Amino acid sequence: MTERVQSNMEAVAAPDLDAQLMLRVREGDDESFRVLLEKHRNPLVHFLQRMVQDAGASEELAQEVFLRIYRSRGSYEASAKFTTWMFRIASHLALNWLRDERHERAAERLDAGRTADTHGSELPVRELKDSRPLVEQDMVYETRLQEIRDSIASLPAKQRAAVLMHKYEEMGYSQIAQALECSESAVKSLLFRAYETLRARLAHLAEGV
Amino acid sequence: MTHCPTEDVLLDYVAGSLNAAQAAGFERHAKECSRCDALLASQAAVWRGLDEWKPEPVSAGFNRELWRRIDAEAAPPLWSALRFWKQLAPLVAVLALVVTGYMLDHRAQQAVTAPAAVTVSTSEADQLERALDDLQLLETVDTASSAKPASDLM
Repeated sequence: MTERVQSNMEAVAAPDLDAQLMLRVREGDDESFRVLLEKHRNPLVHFLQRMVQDAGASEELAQEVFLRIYRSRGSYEASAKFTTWMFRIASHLALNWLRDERHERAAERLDAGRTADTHGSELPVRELKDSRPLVEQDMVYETRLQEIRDSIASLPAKQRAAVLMHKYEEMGYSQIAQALECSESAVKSLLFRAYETLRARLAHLAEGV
Repeated sequence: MTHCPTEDVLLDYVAGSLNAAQAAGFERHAKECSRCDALLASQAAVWRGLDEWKPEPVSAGFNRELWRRIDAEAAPPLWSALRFWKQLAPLVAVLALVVTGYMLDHRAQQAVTAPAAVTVSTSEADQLERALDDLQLLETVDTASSAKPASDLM
């Protein structure tokens, strides 16, 4: 996809240091790109990790985001926050990945069903994650964490992206709206529904306090 | 009791993005409203739960791999050379048509001129044959005259 760099995004009144760095990248200064990479690599990879819940895929997607940013340097215009643009590319790639992954999983399930049919009543083999003995506290923590991961994974992809940007990237409604290419009211609606689901699924966490 | 605030106020309160006055107003309301108080407790629990989810560290080779990919793109790859030739394809096609047309035309001209050449060579052969016939005739006449008796000469 060729990124149309922020042509329809709102202008940023305050000077954005990242945007200034990106303008230098446009002029051929690769050192500025290194600075941007160092600054945003971890938040971006972590966002994608939580989004796709696959460590390898999240790094692959993050590399693609930075590659697209680098490729688009020639047409870059500092008309919006750099991070908004970056998360817009990241969300787009992650949503596509999740869509494709869903199709792949559906195909795998279909194949597994066919295999089971041909091999009698074989049950699909469940992967055992880690067989190391854990102390009780670690087990409780791991269980809680898995519940949280599963709850996030159960959200529709766009709701998931909105929650992750809101919670971990501390982005405002307007910035999330730009990243997800929808209206601010649509973002609020996504967040309300997502948090409502999470409150219902994770209600017991409140009881334990 | 004041009216229940909208849900974005609850989210902003838990996220810590309300200003001090707004936050105090919401707290006052939540103390009086059991519904909002319960919502606040469950939203805060979700927030704390999400805080527990620490991400994995990024691979040490992330930057190196990214720069390798950037450098690979910077180098002119084979496909870009092909793309260059692809751009020239219409011009090459036109040139090929012109050359083919010229060759066909040239052959046609050769086909037209070839019978003339044959005609010329045929006439030359005829001329040669006629010359040989004439020579033979002369020889015959010469032989006949030399073979006449002397009385005839007298």
